[in-house]
Amino acid sequence: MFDYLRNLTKSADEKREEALNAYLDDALSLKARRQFERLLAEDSELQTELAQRRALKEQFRQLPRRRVPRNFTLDPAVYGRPQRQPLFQLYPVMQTAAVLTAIFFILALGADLFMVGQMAPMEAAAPQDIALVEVTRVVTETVVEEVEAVEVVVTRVVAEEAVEEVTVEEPAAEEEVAANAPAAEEPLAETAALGAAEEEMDVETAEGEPAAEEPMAAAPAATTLETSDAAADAEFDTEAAVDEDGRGTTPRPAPSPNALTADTATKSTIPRPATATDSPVRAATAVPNTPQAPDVAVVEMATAVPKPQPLASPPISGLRLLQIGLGALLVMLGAVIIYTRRQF
Amino acid sequence: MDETALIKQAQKGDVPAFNRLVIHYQEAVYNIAYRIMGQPQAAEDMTQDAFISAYKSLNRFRGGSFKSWLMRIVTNRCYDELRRRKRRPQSSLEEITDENEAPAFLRSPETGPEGQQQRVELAQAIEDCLAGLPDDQRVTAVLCDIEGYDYNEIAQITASTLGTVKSRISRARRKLRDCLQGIAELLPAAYRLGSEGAT
Repeated sequence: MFDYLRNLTKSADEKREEALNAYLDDALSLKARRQFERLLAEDSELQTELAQRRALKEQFRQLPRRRVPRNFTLDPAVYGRPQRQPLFQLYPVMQTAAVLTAIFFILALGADLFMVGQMAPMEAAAPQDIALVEVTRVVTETVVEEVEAVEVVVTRVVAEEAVEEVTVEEPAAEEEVAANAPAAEEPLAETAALGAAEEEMDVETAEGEPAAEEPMAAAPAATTLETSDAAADAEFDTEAAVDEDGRGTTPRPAPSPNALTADTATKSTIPRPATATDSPVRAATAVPNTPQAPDVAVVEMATAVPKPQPLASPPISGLRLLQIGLGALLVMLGAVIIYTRRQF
Repeated sequence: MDETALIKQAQKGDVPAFNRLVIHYQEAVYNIAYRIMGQPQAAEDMTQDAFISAYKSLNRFRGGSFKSWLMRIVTNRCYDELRRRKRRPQSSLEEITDENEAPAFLRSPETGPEGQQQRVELAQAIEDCLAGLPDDQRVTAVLCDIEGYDYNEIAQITASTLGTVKSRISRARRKLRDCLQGIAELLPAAYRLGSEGAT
């Protein structure tokens, strides 16, 4: 290739002179030789130049050879075994290793470029996922706030009921002591219990129902079902606590089919609502546990939502490491090869 | 002489086998060194260095022409020495004395005193012209015109392409012709280029 490029830059005179010398040294191909002979037959100046070159060559050849002034043989005592040259012995191996390293390096670069090309659309899609996560987070936060509000109400109701119980049981215990207990106390207790029940019902209608219904409207699909189920369970517990109070007037509603089916995801973690036979204390202790259900749902949602490509980064970093390693190896092999060539 | 067997023996550490190869090739190696260096003592040193280097690196010889391989070693040695001399120019007493006396190898008992003188003058003129060439052109001209190697062998010895060899030979011959024509007055008529008496 270099010869071809050099020929492009040569002048016609240079090419003619080279052809003349090659003809003189019998280094032309048959076709070129015939072509040059045709040219030679027509050009007398070329013939003269050829004669001069031939004479010059003859003069050089007539130069006598010099006899060697001495023998250049080596002394066996000094030069025993020829030294082994491990670097040169390994030269073909190093050459092959350098070629293979270069190939792998190029492949690694290609793979990196390919992965970057594939990651571009995924990165473009990532903001949508982030937006989805943000929406669900906002929804679940509102649900948690509402459930906490329900919890506050429920604990307040339970506390009031406990006070009522104390006030109800005290007259019952004193009945035996004081046979002439005032009959007016029972109606008072009853009215207090009724008042508490009415107050609780008001709380339910005012706060409990929106807490259960708002997530249904806002949160999508299963998430909504899970959170509403938890809120409904909390409502059941408050009612059960009220019923256990001895009134027994409000029948416990059967759980809705939605609540049963949607509860499958959190069945193992969310405690079931207390039954009607449970004691008020147990019901009261069960109530604070119910808000855990939305927390678990939030955790599950957070794990269920795909994160924006955390899996794509480890292969890239590994590939980069591979590229760096191969590049360093290539440079080292190149340096050793150049050093070996210069040495020998 | 079984060259291949001697090389294999020498590769195993047989110095006498290598010495047989040295005896066979030492004249060719020395003459190339002399033509390139232009000084007998320098040529001697280069020849000895080349054989020592060849023996030490005999294990890297992978076949082919052993002679070309040797020539490559001595040529590279000469190149290195010429480069070293260019960095640190020096003139020896030998150079000064050589200018004033005819080289011993040119004294032939077959020719008369006149013929001898003509040969001495021509050899001196060629050597002067050769010394004026650039190193790469001088090496190529010596290998081609004096030692008689073909283009491919020269390319192999000098580690260059065929086109480079052609180009160097062409330029070297043009310069030699111009040089010899420039000192034509000093040459015998029989050795003048372009004259009727040119051979």
